[in-house]
Amino acid sequence: MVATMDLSQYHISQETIQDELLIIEAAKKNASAFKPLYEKYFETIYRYVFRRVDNRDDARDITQQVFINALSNISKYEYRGVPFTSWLYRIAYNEVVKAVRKNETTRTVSIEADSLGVLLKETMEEEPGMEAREKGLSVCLSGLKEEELKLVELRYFEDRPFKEVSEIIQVTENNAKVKMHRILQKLKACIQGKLAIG
Amino acid sequence: MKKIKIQLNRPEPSSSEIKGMQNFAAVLSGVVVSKPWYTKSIWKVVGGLNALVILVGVVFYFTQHSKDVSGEESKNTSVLIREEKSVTPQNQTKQEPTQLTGKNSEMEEKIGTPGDLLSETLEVENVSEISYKSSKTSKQAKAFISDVTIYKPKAKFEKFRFRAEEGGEIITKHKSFLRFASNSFRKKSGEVANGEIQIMTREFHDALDIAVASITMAYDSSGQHHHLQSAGMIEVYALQGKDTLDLIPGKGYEINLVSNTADPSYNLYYLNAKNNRWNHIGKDLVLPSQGNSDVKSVSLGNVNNKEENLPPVIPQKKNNKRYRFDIDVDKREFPELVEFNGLFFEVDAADTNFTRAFYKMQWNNVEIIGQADNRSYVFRFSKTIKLLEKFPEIEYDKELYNSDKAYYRMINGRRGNTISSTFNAFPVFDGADSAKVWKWYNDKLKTYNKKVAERQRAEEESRAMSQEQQRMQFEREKKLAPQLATNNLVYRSFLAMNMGVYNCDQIYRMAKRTTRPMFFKSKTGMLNSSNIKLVDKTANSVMGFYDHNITYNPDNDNMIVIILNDGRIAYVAPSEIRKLKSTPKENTVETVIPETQFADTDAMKKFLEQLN
Repeated sequence: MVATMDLSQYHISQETIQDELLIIEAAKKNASAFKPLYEKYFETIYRYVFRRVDNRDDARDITQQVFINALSNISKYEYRGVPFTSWLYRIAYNEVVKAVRKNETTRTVSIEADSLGVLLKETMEEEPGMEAREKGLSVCLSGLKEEELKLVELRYFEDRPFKEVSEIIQVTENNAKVKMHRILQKLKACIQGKLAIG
Repeated sequence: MKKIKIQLNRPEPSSSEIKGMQNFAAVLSGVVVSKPWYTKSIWKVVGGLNALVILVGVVFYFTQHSKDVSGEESKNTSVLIREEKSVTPQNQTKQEPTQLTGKNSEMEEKIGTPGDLLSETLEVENVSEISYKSSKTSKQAKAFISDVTIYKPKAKFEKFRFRAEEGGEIITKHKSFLRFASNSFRKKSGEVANGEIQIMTREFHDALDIAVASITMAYDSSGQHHHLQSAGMIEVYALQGKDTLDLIPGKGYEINLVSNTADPSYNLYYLNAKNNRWNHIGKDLVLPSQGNSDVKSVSLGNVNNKEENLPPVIPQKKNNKRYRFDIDVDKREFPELVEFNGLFFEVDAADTNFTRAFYKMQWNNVEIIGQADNRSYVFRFSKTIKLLEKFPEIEYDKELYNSDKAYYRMINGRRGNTISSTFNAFPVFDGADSAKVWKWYNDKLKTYNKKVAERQRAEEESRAMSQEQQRMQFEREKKLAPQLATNNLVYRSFLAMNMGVYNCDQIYRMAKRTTRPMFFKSKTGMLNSSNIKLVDKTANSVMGFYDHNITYNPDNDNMIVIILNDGRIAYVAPSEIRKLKSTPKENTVETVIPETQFADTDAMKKFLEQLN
């Protein structure tokens, strides 16, 4: 048996976390010290934002704002057992929501066809036409509450483990699973309704 | 129902494009630092009054200075996109020289090595006293932390000197043997190093060595997470004065690392200091430790620390219906853009990011990034703006204001205090300037091809050497098999192609495992840390945990070392962990914070070694 640890795909080693905490402590005293974290996580956060907005420039601007907010509030950051990235993700998500509310960008859901297939399998028992299914799912996704959509994106379209999803949305892992189950039920009912109508 | 756009299989920007968007200077200038003191008691009132006075002052200032913005602007900009045939000389001084991250297709991105980090962060005279962390982030953090007390022990390196043009052989205190060929090193500038150089080494022969040095043993193989167990690890750097040296491409040095493990199933790994991850690079050769003078190493392939250069973009014939520009920059501030001087670029037909208003903007920064398909460059222009700043040069251009959506969006949709635009463009020519443009292209292509040829030659040499040495390895193993069977101390022999940390390892397969949530109780109370190391002395492995669910083999000799946030250590003695076997429900373990301040990692190891 291979002695793999209980580490998820996003696993960050304790050395990395320790290093990051040192940088954060330094950044609380001198903002320039934040640069290594900015360079390290810019791409990660950019991709997270890009998948949720409809163009590159908006994604870039929002990403910059995420780091401005993070650095402005770095003194409030405390390590509570979850990686620093989870904190950045939460800021990023709030910035996306803010930009959408102000009509500065369009809320977008970027889906890989494979991920869509996985989600469709979770929500459909029978196999109607692909086009109808995709159409039904698209409409039903639009009908989800923002919090629900966020969960679907993290779990299915970005393929994150529940442990990470729970850290980003700040609920327990079990709670995240329960919420996800309810959302899938809701999507399933919605898609079946749409297919029945149309 | 809210408006949501569903996009299937949407192409994402490449990493290089995203990297080109980074602008840390803009983040710094956009940061608003909270001042909690004025939110309390009497300061609230005073603060409020101050804020009012400041606000009045700011309004007054802008009222008075709004007409002078144009003058201010010209002093703070340094890049101007010029429409073809327009000449707009500017008084150009760069606002934030450190912000410049301009790139072009000739630039190479380095994968950081510990050597790079040493030169970046080393400020001490005595290079043997380097803080023990070897990951990039920790080094960088260290550079910034001057007023935070961190109780980190110093790592001791052994130092050896010889002349670079002559090469040298060294034997460490552990009796490991390293051999360097003549003229193997080069400086950061690329120049071959001559004269006396210094080799610094340190070795890690057991789990405590690894634990106190805080070297990761986590290994990611195709998404599977494992831990490694070591048959020996060595860290090697070369310095001349305070400058770290690199190996000349294709040159390697021989390492014969003493080990008490003759098992040939171990592999060789190199620690990439940039991401703090182990790269599997091949196998070592196990040799008996006697008679080292005739030891020859096995080539294990090169760990490239350079990315492939990108070819120049092929010029195209001008299309008069497309936007076209050249770049007017201060050549002293943007030397890397000199090679693009005099060229005109045409905006890619599919790119809608470019707008006519850009001709009138004066930018602070420009980056030109090559792409793998060599069809166009990515241009990124950016400009840092002040609060409430206006753009008089285009403010009253009603035609632009009314018709140019991109401009309108740029002004109104900006965030933070940076505006920028990214678009694709390629060099163009027509009858008059075609000779000049093609000369530019051919020169660049020639340089590119030369670099590719050099790299291929180095790779071929390395490959040829590798094949020959693999053959030798096979013959030697066959010949030495009887000796190895009776010899406890062996050499793990290999040819290293980089400076840094090499590890003879295999994936740790735990014969028996248990996971227990553990809470660490010390004299001063419960300890909370994200840096918990399980030191498995039997398996010669160290496993890191950032939460308190500790997985271990209960049959092995284990101890726990916890690195506290201030750098001090705490430990759980092996005897405490052994107790857990008979009391599975008890998961609070006695943890000790030693009062001793350890002078270096050797002292720390000596202390931990005596615990049982």
